[in-house]
Amino acid sequence: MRSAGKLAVLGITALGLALAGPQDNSLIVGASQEPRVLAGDFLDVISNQAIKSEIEEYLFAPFIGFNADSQNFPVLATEVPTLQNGRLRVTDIGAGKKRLEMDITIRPDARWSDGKPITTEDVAFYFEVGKAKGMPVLNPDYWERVNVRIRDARNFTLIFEPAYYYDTYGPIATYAPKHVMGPEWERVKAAARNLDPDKDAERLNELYRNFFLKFATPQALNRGAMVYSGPFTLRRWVPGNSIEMVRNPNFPIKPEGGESRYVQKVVYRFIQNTNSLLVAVIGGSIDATSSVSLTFDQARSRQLTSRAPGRFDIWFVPGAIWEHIDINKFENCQVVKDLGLNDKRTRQALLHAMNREGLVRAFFDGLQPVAHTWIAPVNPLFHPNVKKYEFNLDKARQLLAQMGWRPGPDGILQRQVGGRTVRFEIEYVTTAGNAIRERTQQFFAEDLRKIGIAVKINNAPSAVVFADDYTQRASECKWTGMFMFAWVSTLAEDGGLFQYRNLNTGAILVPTRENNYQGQNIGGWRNDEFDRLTSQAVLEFDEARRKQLFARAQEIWAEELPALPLYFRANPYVVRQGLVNYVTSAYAGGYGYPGWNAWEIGWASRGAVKKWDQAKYALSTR
Amino acid sequence: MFAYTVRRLLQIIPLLFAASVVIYALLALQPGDPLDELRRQNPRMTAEQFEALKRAYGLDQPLHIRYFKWLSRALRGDLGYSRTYGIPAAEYIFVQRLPKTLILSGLALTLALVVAIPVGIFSAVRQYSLADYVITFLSFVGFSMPVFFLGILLLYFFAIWLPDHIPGFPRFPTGGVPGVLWEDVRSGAVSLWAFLGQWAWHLVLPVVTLASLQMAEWTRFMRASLLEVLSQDYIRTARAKGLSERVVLYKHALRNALIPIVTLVGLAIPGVLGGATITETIFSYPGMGRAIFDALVEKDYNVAMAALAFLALMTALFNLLADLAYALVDPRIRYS
Amino acid sequence: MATATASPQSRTFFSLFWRRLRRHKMAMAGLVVIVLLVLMAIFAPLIAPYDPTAQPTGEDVGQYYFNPPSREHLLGTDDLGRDVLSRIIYGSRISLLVGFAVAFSSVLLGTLMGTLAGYYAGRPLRFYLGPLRREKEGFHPWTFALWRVLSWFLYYGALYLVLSIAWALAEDGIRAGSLGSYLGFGLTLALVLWAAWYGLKGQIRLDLDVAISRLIDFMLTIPTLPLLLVLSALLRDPEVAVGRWAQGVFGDAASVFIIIFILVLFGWLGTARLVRGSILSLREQDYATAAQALGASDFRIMFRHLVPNTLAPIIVQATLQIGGAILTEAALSFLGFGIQPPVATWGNMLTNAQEYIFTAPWLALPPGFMIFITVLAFNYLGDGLRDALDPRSRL
Repeated sequence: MRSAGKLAVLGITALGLALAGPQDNSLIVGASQEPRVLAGDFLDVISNQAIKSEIEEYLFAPFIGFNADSQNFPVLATEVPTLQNGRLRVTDIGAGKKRLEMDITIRPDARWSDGKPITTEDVAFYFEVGKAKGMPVLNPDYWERVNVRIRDARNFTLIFEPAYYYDTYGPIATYAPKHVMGPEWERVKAAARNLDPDKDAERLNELYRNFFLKFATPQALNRGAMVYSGPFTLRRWVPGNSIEMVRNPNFPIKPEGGESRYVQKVVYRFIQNTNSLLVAVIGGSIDATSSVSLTFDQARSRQLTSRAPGRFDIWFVPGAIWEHIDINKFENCQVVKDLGLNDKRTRQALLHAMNREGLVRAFFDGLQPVAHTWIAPVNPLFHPNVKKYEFNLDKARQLLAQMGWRPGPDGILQRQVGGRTVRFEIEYVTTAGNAIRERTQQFFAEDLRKIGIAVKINNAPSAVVFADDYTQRASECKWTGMFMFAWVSTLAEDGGLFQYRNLNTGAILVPTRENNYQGQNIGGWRNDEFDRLTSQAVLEFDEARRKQLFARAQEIWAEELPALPLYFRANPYVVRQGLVNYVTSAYAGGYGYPGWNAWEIGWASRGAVKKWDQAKYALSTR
Repeated sequence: MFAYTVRRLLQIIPLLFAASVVIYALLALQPGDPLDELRRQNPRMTAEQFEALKRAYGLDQPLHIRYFKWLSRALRGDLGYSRTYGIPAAEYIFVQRLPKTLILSGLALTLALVVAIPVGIFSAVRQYSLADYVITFLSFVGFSMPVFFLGILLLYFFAIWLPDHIPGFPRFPTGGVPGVLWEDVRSGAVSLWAFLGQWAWHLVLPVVTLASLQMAEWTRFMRASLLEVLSQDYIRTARAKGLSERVVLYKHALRNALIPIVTLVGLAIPGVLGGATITETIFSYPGMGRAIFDALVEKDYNVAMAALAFLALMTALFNLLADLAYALVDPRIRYS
Repeated sequence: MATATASPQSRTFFSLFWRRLRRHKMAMAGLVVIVLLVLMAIFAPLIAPYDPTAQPTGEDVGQYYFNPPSREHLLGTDDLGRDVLSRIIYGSRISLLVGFAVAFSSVLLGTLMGTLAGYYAGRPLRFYLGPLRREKEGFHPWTFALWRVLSWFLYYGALYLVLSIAWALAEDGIRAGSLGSYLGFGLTLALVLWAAWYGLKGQIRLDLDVAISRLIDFMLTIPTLPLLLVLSALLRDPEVAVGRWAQGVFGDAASVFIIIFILVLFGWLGTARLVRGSILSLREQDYATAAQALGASDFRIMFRHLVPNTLAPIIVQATLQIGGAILTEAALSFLGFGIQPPVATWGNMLTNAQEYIFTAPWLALPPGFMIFITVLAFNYLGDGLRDALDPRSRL
């Protein structure tokens, strides 16, 4: 026993390099981020890091999963609720609102890693904790709309009211181990009984966070304070180094040919500096990289690509991170009026003048595609037939000439506004220190200079430009021209980035003093037709009709061009050849991390059967 | 001397108070709110829901109230919880991070001193010799080499290039702490020597990287100040008395020449405790530098306050110690 | 340096100094290199083969990126196809300006503060502020007059600064008629008036060492990152009084001066502690006590007798600070303080190279080498200066 332990410990340390990969049927994943907490923090109250969600895919299985083709599939549930099988019911509840009911049946052989069955008691527990008074959840909108009805030990119904189409999308994992966490929760409840969620919010917060922490720190998990339901269980967490997970024999789904042919052990190695991580990958001590690991440029660096043939596959998975330039369209800003930024022709001219195709080719080898609207091509709602703005300086000049712009003596365009001569000098802001963005910015600045637009670069660190005091204050002219950054979009697309008013909730989404600077439509665009279409679309549970509404919204968007779409980012993955089913797509598992099908990951040389082909979901370097 | 020390210690109290006010104010006035990020990720959050979250993290109160709340808890020894880790800030800083930083930065500081002082002395004694030129050249190479470049260079050579090209060359770890826990030693799964060996193995590259800059700097200072002292009258007197060069050098000259070094070490130690952000980042070492940097970026105020207030205390203390050490090195210095 | 101008026979001193310096071969080499560097910065447009910000255009521009050194581009091209050599030449302008200005100012300030703190440690000074105060015997009347004018200048200058900041902060509120702003400004005004009246006949007994050393301790405890972020946000915000003030005073050229100012603000602390430590020891030496017994003025003892003996570490400190400032400039620019892309500096070229350390590792060499050369040249020049200034050395 003792010597076995010794071997295991040494296995992931000094000799770890030699033993990696197919030899001992293990998988070593390199990540540049380490989770702060894991497992016990099931509502993401303490942390919602990407790496936490990714590792938890190995440790916990959802009732309903979400595969690389963006389709629901049953994991710990017997079947996926659909309108056809009657497990999904949508009812009108008046005032344009809908109610959604979703029946889920837990698999009879679903068990925790300690052998206890997973029942609706665990579901009820999850909801009890989530709905506790003053629980500082990060998605309160969800918790206000959702409810549960327990029918028996294995059957329950989720109820959303009001419901939106995206409530049926993505993984559903609404349970937590009551037999492990329940007793502690009772103590927390007792302590919280006399606290008022308004007055004692801070005290309540501390109580709750301490509760989750008891089942989430490395010390607690190494002590075995938590149970798991996924294909793997956590064996060891060495902070600052690694997390080691081993197969969970109680996991009910068996991959093709028996689980002994698949990876028996998964180790996450944490190397924060991506350059050092790259060294580790080149050195051969990493089998695959996580979703938070190398940068795009590092994955294409010669040091790596020259060593890749025969050893690694390098994949670029197109994602839904949208790089774009928002434009201040508030007419009350003098500069905006002078430059005519509130006129769509100016914005169209700017976009025509920017060589996006050239940028994508020169910087990214075309691996990150040019964007035409804010919706990613990987999103089912994507509409390809919208107005496109190719690189065309003549068209740009024409549009600008229509606006009255003429070259001035210094080569910069100028025009008369209210009797004054104004120069076309536009502010261009982005996050300082982000090399790709600063490089992109200089590339486009050169393009704009060619048609006589002077660019005034005014970058600051992200803490400064993303502060509410800055981003949300275009209406007060804190930034007056172009602001380049990215939005991360999920499958739950609702058009909120560009709505003036959400007709379902009545909220105004253009941040101004009047609405206390709420909303993401920071450039201040208003199009009532767009608002109507997108507000209606989120209530539409019929996919075809929903697509139609969004298609029309995208056409309007592309014509009016409230922001300049640049490109969609791709996430790079380096995977050792022979590793199969370590596959991801833009939305696999809900967020696009590998590991959503962790039980199927294995080495071909060990007999693992290839079910998913990464080539279908990603581009690769030549 | 005693009265002086007591007086200086008393002066630390207002200093710490002022420092904590300023640090707290700076943290709170930083652009952006700790919850901005959350709000950006959850656009569907309403204003009321956002206010409730603010209340839960105590961010709804005005700055001065928050400061005095923090102060009254801190004086009772409660430094609050980390917002991002959930654990008590004191545990995070003083138990998890500080010891690791002490090991890394302490070793680097020692290495730098152990190399810089003799090399500096040698360089001064052999002023304008070939060896002096070589040392000068090297120390300026060390000084001009940015830490990020040196770190990556060392990593690349010792973790990839050399092992690939020289058979049998050991492959150095790409960073981080070793995968052995202290519990493994206690449970007997790993011997103490193997444990220490693993740690030493992981520390080689970061310590060298971290020490190089300071080594280069201190070599220059040691050389310069020894040269200065060697041209003083009393050294000439000592030589005229016929004392051996060794005695002149080590008994008479070195003591006074050490004063700048004492100052520099006194200034460097709080920096040692504050960690080395760049080196720690390159080698994925969980030390104070990263902790403070992350806390600042993520606006984890309790952690940042705990660490920075501790550093302020250490700065004041080690400047006091340096002053006391002057008197030790040069007995003519007296404090009243 | 300061000692040279105070010398009664400065002509002979200078010629002696120059003769000694000339004999110091490495120092002359260092001097030549520095002069060449400065000339390069001044005549950058004439020397540089290309426009440092010009990017290649046309189809398939990617092929011009990251080119290794070639006949057309002697040092290769960078991540946007720009000529690295031209960027190095143009980059020397800001880098040398920042490096030399920061090193010179912070060493000067640090030496002054350190000398005052070290020399007056344990000997509290009396400050006589106002004209209504009788002067104390023991001072040379001219020294005293100078001292008095200087302290007025500092004292009333500080009061004016407080008042103008208070006004700048309160202005918006007062225009909007907010009570708090009236009260705050009124209170500040009352305090300043009281201090001004007190200053007419005031006297302050102050241990300079305590004041300066605690100020240093305090400055050392301020975390720079949040401070810089706060400043960065304030300076770029046209709505905030401080930002408006900075724009008004400095105009568009503000960025370089702000960077130099910030670097000096935190740069003098180390020098001051170094000098203070040395002075503490030196002031007890025989020659210092002898000078005191002979009735030399404090000023003369400090700057004629003591400071020259601390020159060695000061020069090392200045040398290192040049390199440090050139590197830190880039960090400050990343925090949004000014030098915006595409302007080249050695610091930002080096920092940028970090991003491409695996794609194009050679990008880090030119700026690194330039910093190395500058620092090395200055070091040898400093060594030579010190030797030449040292009356004891027999060069």
